[in-house]
Formats: sequence, structure tokens, C-alpha cells
Amino acid sequence: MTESFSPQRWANTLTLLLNGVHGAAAERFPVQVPELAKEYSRHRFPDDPVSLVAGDILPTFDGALYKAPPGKKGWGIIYNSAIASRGRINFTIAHEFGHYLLHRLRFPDGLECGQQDMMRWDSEYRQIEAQANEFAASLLMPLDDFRRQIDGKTKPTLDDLGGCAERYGVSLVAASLRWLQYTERRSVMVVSRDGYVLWARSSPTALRTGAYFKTAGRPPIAVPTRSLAAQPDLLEKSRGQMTHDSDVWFAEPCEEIALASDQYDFTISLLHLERVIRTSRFDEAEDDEDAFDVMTRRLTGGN
Amino acid sequence: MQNTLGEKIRKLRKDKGYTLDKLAELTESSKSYIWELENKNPPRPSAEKLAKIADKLDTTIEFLLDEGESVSAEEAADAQFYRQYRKMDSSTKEKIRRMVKLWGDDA
Repeated sequence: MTESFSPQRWANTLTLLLNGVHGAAAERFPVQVPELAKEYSRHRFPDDPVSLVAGDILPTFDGALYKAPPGKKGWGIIYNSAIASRGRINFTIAHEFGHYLLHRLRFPDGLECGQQDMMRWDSEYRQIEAQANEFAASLLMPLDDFRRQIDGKTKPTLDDLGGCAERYGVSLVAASLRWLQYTERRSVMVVSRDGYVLWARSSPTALRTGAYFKTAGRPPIAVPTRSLAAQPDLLEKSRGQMTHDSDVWFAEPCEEIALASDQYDFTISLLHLERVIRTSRFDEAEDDEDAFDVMTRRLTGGN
Repeated sequence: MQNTLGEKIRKLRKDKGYTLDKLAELTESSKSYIWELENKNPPRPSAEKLAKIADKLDTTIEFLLDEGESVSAEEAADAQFYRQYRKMDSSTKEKIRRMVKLWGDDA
């Protein structure tokens, strides 16, 4: 039954369909989600289609999936057309289309959100949001095409990633996060505001080798004083690039490419680390642990 | 969830032209505490600190904590899945109701 398709599987199904229709033609991207949602659902679920995709100037609102009123069929995606960036609107519509495909049968009457239920609601809500985002990212930015733009070994600049954002009709942040999922490089993206890290994401190899920042449920992490993120006056036209020694962002050297966004009032730092970690024996000697700590850990079952 | 408290503090601070450091100094808080209030929605902020912040920003603690009207169960059922679960102002709700009424004219 289709209702148990994963976000990835739905996105792949649609990607194959679009590849079949457009091939490598220029109009393949960006994905025109409103048309796709209406056309595809009309054929696949004729009794329960997406029968409306409409935008208007709707302050304090991003988008939502509505059940059609009595006497009308299916579902509607309503979104705020006044959102400043075209990319975010595109992503929002794709996200709602994801809810339609993935969740409409599981939650036929929407999500009850009574006060007493807030905890359950919260975790369930977070989970379905994550699934809708995964669907949207996969549909708008298929990995095979993304790899053709920037292969897994390439060290992109923010302009390169901006070019992909343009191609897929998404924000720079969305394109960068997608690239971080498949790159073989050790890279980390840090988004900061007023000198502290809002959130950060590492590529799989960076994560595996300990280059990451954990922000959830932790006290704020200040950006390093010698980083570009901490020195906006070094940016020219909101952009900058800088090579750092060890002990700026990490215990190893890295390259920082920064972009300050006025619109969102945050700074994006893309950090490229070297392919392999080089440790000198002298560094290791300094990192030797205190014998007391080692013993304590062994006794308390840590490793 | 939207961090409305944080957004209000941030906006009022910027309107006054205060840096994080300045507001921290005025309210005898740490800079990272103010940043966390503005950006991370920490649970149960201290009432005493909020009162100080409200005072220095020429507003009231009621204004900072007022969440607007909360979403009723009926409205939650109305919109099946919010892109961002947050308060909508009433003119936006009204507009969406009208859009739903016109359903089918372009479908």
C-alpha cells in the first residue's frame, strides 16, 4: 500500500517520473511543485487529489495542508506568497505536498492538539515535519543531478552552492544542507548570529572524525574570536574567505568561507577541513590525559 | 514552535540600538543568557530577569509573555498540518477561510 512509502521512496518515484518526462531538458529544474502535486495526485489518487494550490499575502503564516470543505474533493495546499524568498516558498509547497503523500491517511482529521496531549503532539509533530522536509529536499534536489553539478570530491564555494540553489529553486541553506549529505569531503556548515552558533551541520566524514558542534540542549557556543563569523568588518560585500590555523574553529587548520545575510540576520560559515587529519606526535603528547581522569572513567564504566 | 518571546526582545533591543553586551550589562545578565532568550527559547526563563529586561526595553513583562490568542482545537483540525505551528493573526485566518470558500474555482 502506498501509504507506507517512505519520504525517500515517494521522492524517488516522482524523480523518475520527471526524468522520464523532461530527460535532461533545461525545464527539468526547478521542479514545478504546484503543477506536479495537482497532476500527479489526480492520476494516482483520483478520489482524493490535491485539488487546490493557492498562495496569498498571509502574514504570520507559511503554509498548510487543508482538507477540502464539504462538497469538494481532496486536499488543498495554501501558502504565503509574501515570503521574501522564492526558494522558501518552493520548499514550503513541496513540504506540504509531502504531508499529503505521507500523512493524510494517518491523520485524516488533522492532528488533535489538546493541552493534555501536548507532549505526544510535540514529538509526533516533530517527526512528521522531519519526514516532510526529507521528502521536499529529495524531490527538489535529486542527488544524481546534484552530483553532476558538484561531485563528491569537489570543494565548493558558497557561490557554487548558490548556483545549485538557483537551479533547484531553493535557499542557499537548503542547497548546502543537501550537499553536506553526500559529499566525501570533511566540511561543516555553521550558522551564527550575534557571535553565537544558532546551529551547525557536518558532512558524514567530518562527523565521524569529530569535527562537529552540538547545539541542541546545550549552552550557547560562541564563535571563535579569530573566525570571520566573529569579525563582520572583515567581510566585503557581506562575503569573505580566510584560511585558519589550528585552534580557531577546530584543533586543525581549516578554510572558512563566510556570507552574512542581512535578510535573515545570520552569518553562514562553510568550513572546509583537510581530507585527512594530520596529527603530529607533539600534539598528541600535550593531549595526554590526566591519569586520575583515566582511572575515574575506567571505574565508572566509560571508555 | 515560534520563539515569540525571543523575537520581541530582539526587536525591542535593536529598536533601541543596544548590542547584546549593552542589554546584558543593563540587566545584570550574561551576554549568552540574553542571546539564549532571544534565539533558543529556553524553558522557564527567570521572572526577575524578564522584569529587568522589560524595564530596560520600556515594555511590560505581560507584553513579552503574551502569546496572542492560542490555536483552538477547532482551528488545529481546520489546518491539517501547519508548516510552522504558530499563532496566526486573525486577518490571516479570515483570508484563509475565504480562500477555502473559493475552493474549486481554480481546481
